[in-house]
Amino acid sequence: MKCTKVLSLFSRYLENDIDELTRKKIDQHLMQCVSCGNELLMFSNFMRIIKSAAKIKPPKEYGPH
Amino acid sequence: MGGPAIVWEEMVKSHQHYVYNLAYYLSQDPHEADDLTQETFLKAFEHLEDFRQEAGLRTWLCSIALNTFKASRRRKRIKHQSMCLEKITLPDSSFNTERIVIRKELQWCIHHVLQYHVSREQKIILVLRDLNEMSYKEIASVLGISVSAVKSRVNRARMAFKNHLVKSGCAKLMKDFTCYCEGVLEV
Repeated sequence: MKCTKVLSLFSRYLENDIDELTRKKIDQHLMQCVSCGNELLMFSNFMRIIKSAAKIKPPKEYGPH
Repeated sequence: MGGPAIVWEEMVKSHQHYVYNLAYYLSQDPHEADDLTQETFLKAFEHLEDFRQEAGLRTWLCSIALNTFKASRRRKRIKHQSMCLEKITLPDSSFNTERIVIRKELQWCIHHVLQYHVSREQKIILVLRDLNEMSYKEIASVLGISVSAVKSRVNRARMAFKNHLVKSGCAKLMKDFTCYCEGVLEV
């Protein structure tokens, strides 16, 4: 599997939304490709921080009162 | 206050953060986000009879917010303008620890990149998936595209966001791929 294909599947790989064969192919690629391994670490870290740091609490209650 | 009013208030309370986050990142302005959120709930209240249970309330509300925003932009014909970085206004945080500064800095970077460095399409995808934590099926329903198209767009949007975060210098907030705000982020 090529780097571009691996990168395009990161989200599904991290969310366990991928078939077993494809997962094995990605795992094999990651064992040999340091660049994609680093990208995956950054990508998973990003997924964690955006969920916790970007959410905004609404300033008030909405709707008709 | 009667039963339906109480049910309505509960519904608003449990869904307003989804709508507000989408409104905030779409409008890039806390005040406009406030108005957009209010308008969304008013429209939902007025058109409750149009709500189809199978669509899901969250999906329905996000669709209304998105359409309201688009209509508002069409009316005003507002052209996107780059704002001075100093003009970015973060809503007040409820955190009150000495690490709030680090968190604020990280928040600023994330807000900045979300607002100014990714396309509107990518921003909507990121808010719906990563902030509102909606399923791929729900997002497909809101955007009117296939689930497989949503999956591809989510990955592209996340990759674009990560790349911009690094390019904009926000990577300084990360060390060895682990954010040093980790403790704060779990709060």
